[in-house]
Amino acid sequence: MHIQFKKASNNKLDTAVNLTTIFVSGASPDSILKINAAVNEILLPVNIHSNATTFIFNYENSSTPDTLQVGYTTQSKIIAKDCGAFTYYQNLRILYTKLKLKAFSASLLTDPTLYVAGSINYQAYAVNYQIFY
Amino acid sequence: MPTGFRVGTDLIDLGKTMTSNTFTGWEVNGDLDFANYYMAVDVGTWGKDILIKNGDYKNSGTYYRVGVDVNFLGNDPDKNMFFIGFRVGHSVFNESVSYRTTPTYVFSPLDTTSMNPSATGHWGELTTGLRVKIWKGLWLGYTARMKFAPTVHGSPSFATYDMPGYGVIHSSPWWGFNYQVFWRFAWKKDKVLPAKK
Repeated sequence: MHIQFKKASNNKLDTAVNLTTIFVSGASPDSILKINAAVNEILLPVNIHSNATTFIFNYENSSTPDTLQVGYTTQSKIIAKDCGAFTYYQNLRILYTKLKLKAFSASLLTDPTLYVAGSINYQAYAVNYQIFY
Repeated sequence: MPTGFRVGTDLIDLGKTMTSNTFTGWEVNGDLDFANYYMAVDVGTWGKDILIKNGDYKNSGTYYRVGVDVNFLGNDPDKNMFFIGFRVGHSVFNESVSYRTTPTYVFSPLDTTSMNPSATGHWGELTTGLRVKIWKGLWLGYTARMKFAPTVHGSPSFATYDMPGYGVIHSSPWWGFNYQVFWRFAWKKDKVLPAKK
């Protein structure tokens, strides 16, 4: 799931958010993703063992975490014999949050991974939400 | 008024069933002549069991096609036939896939089995081929098919991969070829054209 962070005063401008950790429900063995960086966009993995995932964002300069719970449906699809079968996550929807956000694509790539160090092509992942701070 | 009908079967499907461990199927073909126009019906079954990169895919179902062929060798004394035709196909089938998803980070691998237990589909075909009389009522022939516009109705949690009678539905058009043996049952004596002097 691809999330961009934008300014609440001007939603066209990026804003860097100092995240310390993100809790991801259903992850095993370690359900805490350590970020410890200021980021203006992030890729988050959804729980492939469930049709809903809860994320709790913890910030460096705030003791109040934010919760985002999303739901989705799955579709199995065979690309080709030699590529194999994949699960597509679709119909993404917000189940619970108090964050101000705007929704974009309701589909996820097959296996989005959290990757905050090094370079990654965020543009390869459709934007699912913009969160305004 | 029809002069007879032909019943036959596809030898390629029979051969694949006997020699392959990934395909089982058979097809019966029939046509009924109305002068140079033939009403054609095909009925068949097929099932596939295919290993994919991260699992296994299976399907099984029945299908039929109906259509019309136009014979461009209408004056042939043996009623040999070169035709172009059209078919509408319909399939009822089930399919399943078992595979493993291995995320790179965070989540443990997941073994998934997804099923499409009662799917239906249809498609169109353009056909061409030959039917040649070998001996008395015995005919051999082939049919080449260009299949297009596949449509499937089934489980939303499974994107159909292969539809019996059509093939891999991501591909449109999809090509098919049958090599067939027929027997023609005539109930009206064919007109014998006078020999040209």
